[in-house]
Amino acid sequence: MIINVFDLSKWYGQIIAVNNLTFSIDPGVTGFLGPNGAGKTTLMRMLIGQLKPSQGTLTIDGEAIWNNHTLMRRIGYCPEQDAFWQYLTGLDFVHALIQMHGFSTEKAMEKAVMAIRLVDMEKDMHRRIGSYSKGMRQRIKLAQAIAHDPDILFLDEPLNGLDPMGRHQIMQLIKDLGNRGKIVVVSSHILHEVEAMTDNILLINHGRLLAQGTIYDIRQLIDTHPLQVTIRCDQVDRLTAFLLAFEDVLSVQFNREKNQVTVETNQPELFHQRLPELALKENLKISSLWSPDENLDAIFDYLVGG
Amino acid sequence: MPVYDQNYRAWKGHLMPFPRAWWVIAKTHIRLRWKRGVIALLILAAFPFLMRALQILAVARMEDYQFLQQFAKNLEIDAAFFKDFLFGQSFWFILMIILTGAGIIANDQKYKASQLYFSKPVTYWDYITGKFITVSFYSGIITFIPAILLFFMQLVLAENNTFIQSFFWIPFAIAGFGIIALLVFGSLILALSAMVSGRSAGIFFFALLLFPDIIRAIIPSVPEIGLISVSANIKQVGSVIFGLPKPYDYSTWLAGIALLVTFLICMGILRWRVKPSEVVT
Repeated sequence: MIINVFDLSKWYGQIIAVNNLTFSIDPGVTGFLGPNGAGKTTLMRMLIGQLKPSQGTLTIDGEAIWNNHTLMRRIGYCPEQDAFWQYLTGLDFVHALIQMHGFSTEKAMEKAVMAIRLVDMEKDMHRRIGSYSKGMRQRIKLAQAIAHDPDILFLDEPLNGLDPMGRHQIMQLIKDLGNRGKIVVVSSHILHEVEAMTDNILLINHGRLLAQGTIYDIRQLIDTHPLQVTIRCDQVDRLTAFLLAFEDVLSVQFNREKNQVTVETNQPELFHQRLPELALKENLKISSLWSPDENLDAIFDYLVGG
Repeated sequence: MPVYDQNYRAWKGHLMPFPRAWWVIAKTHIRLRWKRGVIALLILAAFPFLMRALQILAVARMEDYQFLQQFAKNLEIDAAFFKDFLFGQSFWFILMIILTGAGIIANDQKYKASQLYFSKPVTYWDYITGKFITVSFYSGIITFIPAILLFFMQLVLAENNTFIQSFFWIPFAIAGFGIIALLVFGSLILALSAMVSGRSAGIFFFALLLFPDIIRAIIPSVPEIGLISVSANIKQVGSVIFGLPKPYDYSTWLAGIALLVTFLICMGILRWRVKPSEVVT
């Protein structure tokens, strides 16, 4: 199962919402990341077959998704907006929507209850949606997306309005769904949320795809942007002196109290290759090594020019 | 690193080959609309039906019960009886259409629920049909269904075959008139609901029915002005369907065409306003 997007564009009159995107999505969790207005929701609505691309192709297992009701049966969608009928109970809401996928009334009820259990809403499922809190609405919205056991899930800002406990539960659920072989696409503008669910991301800004891959892969692509590496060592003065001799090292900051040195390198691969050799040769005991800007925030800031 | 199962794992159970989404939408909305206001209206609208039922009983049993004689005097159970019942229910019919239909699309747009509908295998026609059935269900239950019931009541109570021989076509006339009225009024309220908020849709619907009648009353010398009135056109066509003289002095064909044009305009508005999936050219 694979989603293929080729040369995809969408424009509204003179405004381009999505611009020449080409990528593919495999099973597992994939994060759509970008600031508000980046084109994530437009892209998602094209992926679920609601919006027709202005240009390009979008296929799931080779079949075009646009208006394809057979494929739609395999898709679950959790929109960003609160899309509810306030007078329905949570259970009736999920039950009604599941029946639209072709399940019988009884089977739909069974599946609705199961999904509601998964999002931990069993206790409140007989209450009217109008009386739900923002977090409860988010959970029930998620339940309707997963209740028919779709192969492909699109979740638009699924963690909005959830409390920390709820976030943790839903993140775990999303990760589990990905591990079960489903394609789960999660859009968010909050970097650490996506990072906690997956390291496979698509960075989108102004409708353009900035990068795709794991956080590390993307970091590798940015060879012009110096990578920060922090090393903790027993002989920090000596190590600093050696590092200054490396031609790829642009700057060095050391902290004697913490026994650590932070360097900026514009050739991370070369740096990571040479450091162990140096440690061995000069008998330096390196206790830890990490890259403080090899996280999503740093990459995102850099790529979108933040 | 998780090892993914790359195969498509289809649902092993039974799925309906063509999901009847319109039925699910209709069912859900019929339940949703079952509110205090609707129940009160159903009870009030049942009184004229009970009166007519009593009249049928009176005519049939006049000789057995003397007290019924006054009540049934000069009363004939014929086509006009059924037409009058239906025309008399028009006030309740309009109220029910407003109560059940004004917010039916407007609320979906307000809460962005259409986005959810159309992320499911739901077509435009599923959506419109589901909504239309909801409005028709409640409006029909106080008008056309009781009219049919009255017909069968008369059939059961009639002592000979004269009634059925003369008026066997009445159920078809009721159904035909019902379909026309529901299509026109139903599409009108759906179109308004798709354009404005629920409350405004109700007000506009009422205004669209009232103002042409006011204009018709102000200028009685030009009977063709009645063509702008949906209710006048419905009465004109309805009378002809029941084989009775037309109430207004203009062509029934033109009235029929005016109703068709109203219906088509409403369907056009619905097509424009309700977008299952958006196409930008």
